[in-house]
Amino acid sequence: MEDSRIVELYWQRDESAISETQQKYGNYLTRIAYNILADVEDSRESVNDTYLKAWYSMPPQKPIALSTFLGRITRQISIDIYRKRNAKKRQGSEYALALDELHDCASFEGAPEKEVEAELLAKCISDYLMTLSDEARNIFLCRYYFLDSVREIAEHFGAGESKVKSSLHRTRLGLKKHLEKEGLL
Amino acid sequence: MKPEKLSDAIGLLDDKIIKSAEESRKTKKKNKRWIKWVAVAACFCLVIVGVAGHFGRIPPDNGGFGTNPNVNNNPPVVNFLSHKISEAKYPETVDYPQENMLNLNFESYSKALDEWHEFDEARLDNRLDIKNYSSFLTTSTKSFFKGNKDNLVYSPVNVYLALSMLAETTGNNSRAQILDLLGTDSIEAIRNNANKLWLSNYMDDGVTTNILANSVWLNEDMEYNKSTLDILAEKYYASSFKGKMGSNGYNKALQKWLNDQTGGLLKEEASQVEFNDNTILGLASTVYFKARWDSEFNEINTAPDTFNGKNGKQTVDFMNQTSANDYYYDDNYSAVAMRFTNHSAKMWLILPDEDTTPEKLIQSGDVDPILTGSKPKNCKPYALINLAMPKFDVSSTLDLRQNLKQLGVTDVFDDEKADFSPTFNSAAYVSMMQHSARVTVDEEGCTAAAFTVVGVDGMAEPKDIIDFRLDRPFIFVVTADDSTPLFVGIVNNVQ
Repeated sequence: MEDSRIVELYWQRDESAISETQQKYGNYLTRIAYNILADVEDSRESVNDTYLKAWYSMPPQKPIALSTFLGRITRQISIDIYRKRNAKKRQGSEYALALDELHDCASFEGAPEKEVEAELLAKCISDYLMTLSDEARNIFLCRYYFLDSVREIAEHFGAGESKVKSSLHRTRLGLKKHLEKEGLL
Repeated sequence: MKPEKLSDAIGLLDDKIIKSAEESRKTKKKNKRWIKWVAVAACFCLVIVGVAGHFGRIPPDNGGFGTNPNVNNNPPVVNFLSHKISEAKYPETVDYPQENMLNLNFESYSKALDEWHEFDEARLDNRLDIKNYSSFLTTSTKSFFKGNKDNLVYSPVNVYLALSMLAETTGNNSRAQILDLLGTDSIEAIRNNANKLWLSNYMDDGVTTNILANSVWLNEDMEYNKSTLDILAEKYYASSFKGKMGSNGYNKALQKWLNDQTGGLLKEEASQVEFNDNTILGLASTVYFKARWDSEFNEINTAPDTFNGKNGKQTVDFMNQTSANDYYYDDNYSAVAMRFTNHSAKMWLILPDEDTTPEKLIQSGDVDPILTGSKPKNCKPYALINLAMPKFDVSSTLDLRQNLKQLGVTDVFDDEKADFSPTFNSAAYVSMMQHSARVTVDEEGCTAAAFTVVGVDGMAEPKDIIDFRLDRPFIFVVTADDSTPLFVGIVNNVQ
């Protein structure tokens, strides 16, 4: 079913909106959740919460790209679940690994923490990403937005894992420089 | 700044930038390990109407096959255009947007995608309720597969359209018998059904091709009723041709048309059909279908294995794949439906239980639900299926006259009873009705730059793991987006 039709179902308060969403995007969302949580039960819970949240946010919202809209919700809910976990259970997910990698473009440890608004930071990251090639930008987002594993990314881009790793590395260093230049680090 | 904060900010990036990455995750780019598998299938149904009367006609049993001694030996130059008098105008289609468009401009990509969806839905608005012809689907399939020993492919939609056109050109009892088999009593209903079938199937968007083509072949020395020909052109999208029956050039034009419409898949079969100088009218219908599979097979998993064919054991290449899919089963068989990209078209793979055969399953009516747009009785949704399937390429040619007679369509084949009064004023009868079809499961260009894998396998959490090995005779059914059964076949031997 077309996205606009599904959104319409939400607006009409028709409960089949959820089953249609599940059918079309269930796999896609579960995958995002699993990348963050590395746990089947938790992922399912996260995706179910996504449907619930979608139900209560449409209306008023009328997303054009439904997949992106839903994926964003799942990502946020999954990260929230992740944060409530104890340290031991946090290990092993792609999200945990990605955070590790992002240390590259964060401040040195012990540096005073600057108060930066998340919105402003996002705008700055976005500006930087738009200076990159499509491939480098998409690889970065697959890794840090969708939390895909390096192996998966390599498959999507027809590249070797080492090429993906070095692309990510370059982008992280470039981002760090950009953030410093903008005075955010 | 902590990495978490960066990660949260990344989560706030705007839709446009995320959508682009999202699309890139759906593709698997040039990578030698992956092969794009496609199913290609084609068929034609050719009806030849010859002069009735004992003098100078080819006996019915040889109905137009073989070489006619009267043909002149012109050089085989096909002057296609000189025979064409009108070409069917097909509706416009909308191409499926190319992925690389996305990187250029998100708005135009999503606009193109919306346009495609709109077109696709409008097309399916023409969907013909399968109830209108389900009795034809099941009875004809049973009849054509009866006594079959080898591989056999039958296209119900193709024969349905060929018979509909034949009904248009015939009158009185000849027509009534055909309408009866097609499950209706009015020519208007058939015309409407055929038109809907044509429109809801027609797809040529750069990813999937599904074209039903029709043509009418006229004898230049004859007069025809224009209104009947107009209906064929308008409702059946039939192109028409005119030429000297039995001439080499005209036969070549027919063969070329068949080849063009079937993607060259039935070259051998097409090269053997010809008109002779007793031919008054030829009606040809074709179906050409080509689509990529939604979930791909990994080449490194393709390996030779044993197929226990009807003629004995054969060592053939098996494609292997593990994916989450619905698993269906009934008392005498199990089945899996493999989806094609972007659409709801499918190939059903039906494996009879060990104690039965494909032929028995078809005769018992066990497969009827799949033929008529519904599903087998039981389903394990979202099971993890280890599918092993031989690469196959099956084809067959059927002379439909005997079977159709058994199904009650007798008069058109009888040189004394056949009635073609709506089309011309001569005594004539159907001297040949041939149906040739071929279905192949093949790989397409390993060098292709990128292909879309819609619905990338999620982290499937399967309830069951099922081995589904097509290592003995099996049935396949290719159904279109609107559930029309395009092709039904039995693979008894792979080679």
